[in-house]
Amino acid sequence: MSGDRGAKARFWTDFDGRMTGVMLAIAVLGLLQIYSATHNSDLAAAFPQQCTWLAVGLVAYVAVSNADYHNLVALSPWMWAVIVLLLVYVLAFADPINGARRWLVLPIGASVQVSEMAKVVLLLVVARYCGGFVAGKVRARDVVPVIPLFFAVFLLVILQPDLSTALSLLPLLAMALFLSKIRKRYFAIAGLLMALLALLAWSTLKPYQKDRIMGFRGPSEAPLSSGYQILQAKIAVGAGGLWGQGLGQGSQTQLRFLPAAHTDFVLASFAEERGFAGVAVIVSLYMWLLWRITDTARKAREPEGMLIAMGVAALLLFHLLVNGGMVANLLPVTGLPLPLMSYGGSNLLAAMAMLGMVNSVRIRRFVN
Amino acid sequence: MQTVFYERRAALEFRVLVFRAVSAGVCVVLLLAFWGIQGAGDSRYRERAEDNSTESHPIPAARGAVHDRNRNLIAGSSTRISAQIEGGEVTPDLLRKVAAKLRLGPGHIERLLDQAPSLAPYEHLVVKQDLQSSDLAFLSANREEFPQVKLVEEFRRHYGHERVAVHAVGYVGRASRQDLARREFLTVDYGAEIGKSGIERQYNHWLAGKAGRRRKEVDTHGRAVKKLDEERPLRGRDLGLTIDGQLQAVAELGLRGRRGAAVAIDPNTGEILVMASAPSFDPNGFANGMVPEDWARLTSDPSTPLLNRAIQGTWAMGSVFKPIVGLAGLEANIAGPSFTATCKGGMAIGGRYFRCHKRDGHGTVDLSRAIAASCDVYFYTLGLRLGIETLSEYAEAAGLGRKTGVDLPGEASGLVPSAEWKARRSLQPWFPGETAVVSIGQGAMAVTPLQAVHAIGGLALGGIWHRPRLVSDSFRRKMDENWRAPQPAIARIDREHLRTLRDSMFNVVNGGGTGGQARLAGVDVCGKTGTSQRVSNSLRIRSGRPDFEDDAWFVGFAPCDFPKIVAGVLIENGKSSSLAAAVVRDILQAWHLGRPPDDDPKPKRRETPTLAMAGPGL
Repeated sequence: MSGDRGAKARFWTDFDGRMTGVMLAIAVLGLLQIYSATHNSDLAAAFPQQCTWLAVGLVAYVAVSNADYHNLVALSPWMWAVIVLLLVYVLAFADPINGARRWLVLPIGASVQVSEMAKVVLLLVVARYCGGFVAGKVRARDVVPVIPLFFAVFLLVILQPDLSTALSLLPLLAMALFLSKIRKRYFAIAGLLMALLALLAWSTLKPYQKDRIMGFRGPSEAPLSSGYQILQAKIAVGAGGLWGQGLGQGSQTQLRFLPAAHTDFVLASFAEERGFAGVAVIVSLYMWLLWRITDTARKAREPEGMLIAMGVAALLLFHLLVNGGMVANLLPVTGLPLPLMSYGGSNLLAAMAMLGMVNSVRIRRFVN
Repeated sequence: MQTVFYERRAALEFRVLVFRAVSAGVCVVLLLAFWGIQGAGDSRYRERAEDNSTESHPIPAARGAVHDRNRNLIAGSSTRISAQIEGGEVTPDLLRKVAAKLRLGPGHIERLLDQAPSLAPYEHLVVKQDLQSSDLAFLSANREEFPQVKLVEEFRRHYGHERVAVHAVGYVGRASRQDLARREFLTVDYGAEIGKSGIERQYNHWLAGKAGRRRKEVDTHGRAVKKLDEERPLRGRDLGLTIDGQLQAVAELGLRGRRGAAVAIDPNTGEILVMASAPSFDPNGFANGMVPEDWARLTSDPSTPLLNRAIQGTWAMGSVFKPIVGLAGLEANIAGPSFTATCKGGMAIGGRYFRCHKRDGHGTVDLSRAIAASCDVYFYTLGLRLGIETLSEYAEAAGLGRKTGVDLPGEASGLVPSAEWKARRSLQPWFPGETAVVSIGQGAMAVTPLQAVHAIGGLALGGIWHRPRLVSDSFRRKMDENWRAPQPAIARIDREHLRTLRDSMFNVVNGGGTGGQARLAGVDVCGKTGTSQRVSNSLRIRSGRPDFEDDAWFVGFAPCDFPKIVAGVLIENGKSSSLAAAVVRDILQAWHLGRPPDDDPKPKRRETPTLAMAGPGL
């Protein structure tokens, strides 16, 4: 099953050019927005950095596309072990940045967010352990090892503390459950567990986190407290109107009234300068991307491949919903970035690596 | 080459399609949410974004200057820079830090700390008014440390060293919330400098000009990014008053050390040449932002330096009222040459004895003699014949008992008593004795010095009372082409009667009457003395209190036959009217010396007055 000649031969013919194109389109629009939001500030280094990360991401994308995903799945327990060690390492030794220990500083000067790498690893872990289950070949108890593997990572991320990233891992598990042949009552049990988890999470929330969740409904009431971001984002989005203020022309973005205009709120900044028309284009691109990924999932050679593609789709949809909903004032403020658009190397790299895996699944769909 | 077969393939593919549907749903919901904010064409967001990023600062307009009639400067403006902090950003800590750097005294800091909590966010706390160059250097070097401290360029009102006519001109200060509630200050910004009293307030709309505005684009830290646009301020218009600075100075000198007022008018136009009130104050103190202790000192001073006695204080008119009673007698055909009274130092009315000021009596006197010698008994007799209704009718015709309509805020209306007036406030009927008291200008009768001068001036002119004014008609027309001068009040006075009255008032000064002090070489002065009682004579003598002493009046005009100026002086507790007459004399002398030599022909007494009008009385 490993990378044979047939796969090599098929690489360029089955390479998903459309998905790659859509991915790059989103990334480039994001890059332009990052440039617009930072070029006249002390964050001006963000643009060249993100360009570098995009180049690194592209290399990773092609490399992962070229790699046989079966090998990656097979290696996933080892990857898991490395990731857990790294998570423990950052928890124990890393200097906290903004009160959280998330960052692993590499000797070359760059720093990576270990939890983003963990996301990729968990995708493979879930594919490895749930593949047979999804196919209906093995019994439920064979799937049990995935639970400690998954929640070990989940807890280590929560401890950083980074609740929203930890929660953003859950769609992987949810997707596996969604695809598997289990009785409806297990769905009910899973739902109940989720609710309990949510309650538990709420009780451990810091006051600022609770503020954020409660604040999103009435942003205008407290313009200088937790509602400030929401209010400024709403003003930015609304000021964009149908056609936008023009790239580099949005006052909320340019004069930095909009907080995190190049990271979590990059979509608000984009909406201000590109208008509803731009937002429609972006949302359509994401939809198109999801379409291509799910198309690959349908055509995947076996359940592992399908689980990889559907896991990526679930992660992407979740991030789009949570981040877009936050910018559109539907959902509370969370620290989740918008994949491919928000500034942040680890996130971009992880997203492109995962899309590379989807591509790998597509390329190898017919191979025996 | 085919995919690996497994039994649930079809079911899984279906679930992928379900996921697609969910994805499509999410995208549609997101698009709808964005449409809700962006698509409705709601301009509020753009306005809010603009509000965020623009800051508007008023650019003050230079206040117009105030001149006297000879174009001598009374009030001017110069620039200064003050340090201010917006109300929402004031913290005690910040205040202390800034205050220490600006070397403010501990009292000053305390006051700022007291003021700070009551400020609205849009209001500004003025930390220091007149920044020295060292302060400016420090603040501009430390802008980053104190971004809240704003340097505001302002104009500072200053009044000349002479401080001429301070009560009439008034003073300026920062608009308070109460000021903004008034209609006249509808378009004024909070904290802007406005006229608080006098001419400064009356003509604020001309003097203030129009503040400009400078709009800047600022970033989230309040740093200016670029200048947006600028509306240039419109300089206030200069105002020329009818005040004659030289006469004013003479009057103020005459009042120095006393409490009282002096007014001079050109009766032919109503133009006010002199308006002085003593004691006085320094209006520069207001323009500089007054220390509360100074304000308390001014307002609690028993001699009320802020009061413009010329228009805001009222006193019994005393014997200055007698020419008006005489006019009533003449016009009613009572006080003809045959009507005399015999004065033995007093007379009994209604069971009470009313004294004349001259204890041993004036003997038998007619109207002319009675005015010259100010015989009370004659006027008791005449007043009782006329009755209170006729008396008050003539008093009101001369403009007493109501505001003269001078162009100043806060004028008092005074009081002319009548039977009807008494009925309104008391159950007791009007007694003849009260008529007698009113006949000599005492009792409830109350007038402002301006009213007294206005009344006598119009009478001297032959029954034409021009509304007193500090801004001449011609000047007002220049400022406002729609200006219509108010019509004078006119009473028809028999020319013989007028001559009789003028002659008697000539005799007051020149014929051995009570006003000899006012006599001048080179110009005929007419006039009337007055002393008005504050308390009964017996109480005044018994108590010996200086503040119970009589108030002294003199109102005079010149030249007698062609009155060109009428001047009146009131001195509180001045005891003798000669004190007031001397000040009037000085004013008239200054006027006489100051006018061109051929201003009018050398007066020839007994010439028929040209302005007198024939016909029956009122």
